[in-house]
Amino acid sequence: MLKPVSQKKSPRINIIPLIDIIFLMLVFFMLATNFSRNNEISFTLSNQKKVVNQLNKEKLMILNLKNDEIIFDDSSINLNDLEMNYLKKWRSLNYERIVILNDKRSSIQSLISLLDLIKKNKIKNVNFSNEPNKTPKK
Amino acid sequence: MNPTKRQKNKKGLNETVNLIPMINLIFLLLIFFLLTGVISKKDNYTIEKPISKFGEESKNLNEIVILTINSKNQVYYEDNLISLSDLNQIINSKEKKYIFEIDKNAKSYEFVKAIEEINKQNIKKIFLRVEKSEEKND
Repeated sequence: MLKPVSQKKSPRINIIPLIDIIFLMLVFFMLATNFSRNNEISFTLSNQKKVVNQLNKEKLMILNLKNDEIIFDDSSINLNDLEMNYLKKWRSLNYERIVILNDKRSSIQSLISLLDLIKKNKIKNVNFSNEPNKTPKK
Repeated sequence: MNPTKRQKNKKGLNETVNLIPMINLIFLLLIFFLLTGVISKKDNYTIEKPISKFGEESKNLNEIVILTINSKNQVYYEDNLISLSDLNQIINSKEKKYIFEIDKNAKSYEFVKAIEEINKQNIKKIFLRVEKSEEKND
């Protein structure tokens, strides 16, 4: 009698579950990760009350931010005029420091836009505060 | 077609699809997402950051503390509504990096009040997250 020829099957690893898991992980990381980078500006805090108080008021350029409007010498001034007439001529002017005073209605964006303009003109002596009689902060 | 050629092709054809290159690619994608992305918790509130030309990419070497001020001028720390007087409990280490996330429509008055509180704790530097403007710096 003839014996049936035994067929040897080579062992094979089923890789489908592995692929499933990797796909799941891939989908998770694709949905959960965040690629946006944060940009920041820094503020140095210092108690400059004495410095500001020692300066003659004539040496201070006081800019009032009132309801997102810049008030200088009791009149409104826009960012362009401020830059052309004062900030670009800063070295020739008699001022030593800029003090920005906020009112309760001004937005953070108007303060940042003003600080950007001052930084663009490479003026470093800047302080800002809320009220005229309080310590300005740099 | 020549029948002999067809027979040869049929013999040489591998019936299983080779999945190894696909697995390689998926692994590469997975590693890319693992290394480049950051898994961040989604906030319950939306903040429209102020726009600045001078925003610099953040380098978070130290432990960070994020203080959020929304458009309604409410201050949040770790999703909890806090008052400015609570800041002295939160600000307890000079080694930490203190970052403000402020809505561009929030009032600068609140921001200045917050940094006045922080200044009382002898913190020398704070950061404000901004959206970097696409405009070129002059």
